[in-house]
Amino acid sequence: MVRYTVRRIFITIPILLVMSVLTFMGARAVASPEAALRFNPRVRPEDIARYREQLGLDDSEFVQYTRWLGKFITGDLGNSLVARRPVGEMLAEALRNTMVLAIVALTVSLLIGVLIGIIAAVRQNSWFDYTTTGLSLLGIATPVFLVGLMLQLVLGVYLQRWLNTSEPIFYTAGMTSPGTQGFDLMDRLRHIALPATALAVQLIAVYSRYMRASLLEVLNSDYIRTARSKGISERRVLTKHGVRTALIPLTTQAAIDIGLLVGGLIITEVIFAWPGMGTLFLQALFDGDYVVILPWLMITAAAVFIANLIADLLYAVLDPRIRYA
Amino acid sequence: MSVEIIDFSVERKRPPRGSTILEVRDLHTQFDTEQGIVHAVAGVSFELKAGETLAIVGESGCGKTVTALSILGLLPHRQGRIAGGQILFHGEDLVPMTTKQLNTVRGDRIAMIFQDALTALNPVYRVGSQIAEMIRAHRDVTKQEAYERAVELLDLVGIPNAPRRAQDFVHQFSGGMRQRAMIAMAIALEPEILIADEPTTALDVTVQAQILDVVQEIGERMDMSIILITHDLGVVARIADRVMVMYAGRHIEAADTHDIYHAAKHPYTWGLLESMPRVDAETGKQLHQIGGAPPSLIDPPRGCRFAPRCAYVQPICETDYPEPQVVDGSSVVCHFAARPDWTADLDPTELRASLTREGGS
Ligand SMILES: Nc1ncnc2c1ncn2[C@@H]1O[C@H](COP(=O)(O)OP(=O)(O)OP(=O)(O)O)[C@@H](O)[C@H]1O
Ligand SMILES: [Mg+2]
Repeated sequence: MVRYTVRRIFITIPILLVMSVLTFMGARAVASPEAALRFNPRVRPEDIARYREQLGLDDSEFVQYTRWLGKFITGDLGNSLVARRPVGEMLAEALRNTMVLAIVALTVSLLIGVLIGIIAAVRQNSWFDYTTTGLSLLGIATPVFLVGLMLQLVLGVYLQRWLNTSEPIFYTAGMTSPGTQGFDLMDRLRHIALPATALAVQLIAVYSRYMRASLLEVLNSDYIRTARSKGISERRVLTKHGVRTALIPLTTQAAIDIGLLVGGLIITEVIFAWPGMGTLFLQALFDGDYVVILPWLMITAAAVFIANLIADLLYAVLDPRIRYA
Repeated sequence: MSVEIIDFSVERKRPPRGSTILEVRDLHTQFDTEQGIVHAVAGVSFELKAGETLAIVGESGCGKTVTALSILGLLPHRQGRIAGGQILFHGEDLVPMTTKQLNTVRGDRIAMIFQDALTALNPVYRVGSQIAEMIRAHRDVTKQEAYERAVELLDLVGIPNAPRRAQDFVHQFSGGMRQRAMIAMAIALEPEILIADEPTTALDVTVQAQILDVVQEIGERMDMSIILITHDLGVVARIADRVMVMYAGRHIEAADTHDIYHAAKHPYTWGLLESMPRVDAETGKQLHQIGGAPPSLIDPPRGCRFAPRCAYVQPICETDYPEPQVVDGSSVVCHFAARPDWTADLDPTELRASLTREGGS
């Protein structure tokens, strides 16, 4: 398995290199760093020229690319053109914030989704099954921005008005209240509740469907019948032989999803002003801050690769039939 | 191994040989499908006596597995159900029992070996621990003790290097070893009845023989009654005491093995025997094949289910279902079983002729 892992990583490197060329060309095409300067009447053309020279924008694309790649590989990400902060620091902070949101939402969704899936499978074709099937189709079909706005309206604004409190129970923006010192768990929870719920709606819908299908397949298999023939309790048949096996594909799916969420929370983060990767990306795009955009794209791509690798390895750990050589 | 041998067989008074321990009476099992209700088993009755080996034979789809599953209440929850009849185990009916009540019987007193061991064992647990799980469900022993017993059992059924193989997963076993592992599990608690559902179908011939030897030998040693489900009439001749022939969800003949081979009373059984390759057959003689196909189990024929394929068919066969009758110690489900000239050598036209003669006189 170690050999397999090493090989997978080596395969990933050329893919990431190709990706870096594409992202470099793409980012340079859409993001023009001096655009903001151009529209400023107080900036003279000479200043713009000097600025371009400073950034090396007049060199050939190839020279620019290799220069950037060399720095990227050695970990020198430079300073943001607009925020004037080290890009590494900005990305690390955004990544951390996004991961907090993603992992909270994912964990909650897995717990609830799995539970719903189990009950729906065990009581196949019951009212519970039909209701949750309908609700998850609704959940999958509703765009996340709509869910987000509704949550802000109902659980943010209306709830506060209805309870007549001076502060909202759940905050609709940000990660912490301004001025909080240190780590205030309650305050954090009241901030993360709504964005996490907005994300969870879709994730629960997907995971409960997935778990239901997976468990139904397992419950129809021969080894469940064998387990029943042994005279062990129905509960043990369901949990030890049914759920344990049915969870395998779900676990790997969740691992893949974490990778996707690293760069995939743009809408949610913007709606809830969550200072994560999505917000950072959108801001950088508006600013034409390609110094931020380039490593951002590389990190989110790498996250997908890493998550997929972890999912594969996890599969091998959980399912003894799978062995990677 | 110098491990102290733990005795897992509870002191159970085995009923005297020859007494009835399982009696299936007029069993009806159905499945709901999109095409309609499948009457997979429709009125099967048989008895199993203590210490005997009963073979259930019949072509694919005739309801052998469904009969076995019905006994242990293992029908698929949603589609399958027992629609009628009784399954008396020591005189106590298993049909109305709750899962909890059945669980005291399953594995411990009646155990089953399934058709395909690869899919019948859980792929994510080690073989040894799956056997130990069953022991722990019925005996008050520690995990460690149960596991050691599992290893012993694997050794007993002839798996080489059992302590190491017990740690394998089922996909790491060969076909024959998988089946041995299934057997080890089924005999773990020395059940009174062992149901073996085509334990050798997927195996090559030499392994088949070995597996059957293991079943037979252990069955004798542990004094178990065995229900052996099989296609293979050769196997039946070798190890069964009694045979029940099934056709399209019904038993059509039940008799001592010797009588089945030498004095069968049902035209379907005659066909089965003739379709079996024999060493003593004249060379060049073609194997017989029963023409036609089994009837639909959704909308079965009203009369005898074999009538559409029977060479001896008469009008009464298509309208009336024959009641089982006992002829020379065999139970036969055929209108004509009691006729003195009723043997496989009887010419169908002769039957017609003599029937008209009898009808006329
Ligand atoms: N879950 C099910 N749903 C619907 N029909 C079923 C189901 N299980 C079995 N049957 C039907 O019941 C009939 C008897 O099946 P069974 O498995 O008992 O046959 P069998 O005699 O064991 O055959 P084989 O020798 O091929 O194993 C078949 O016609 C089959 O299609
Ligand atoms: Mg079968």
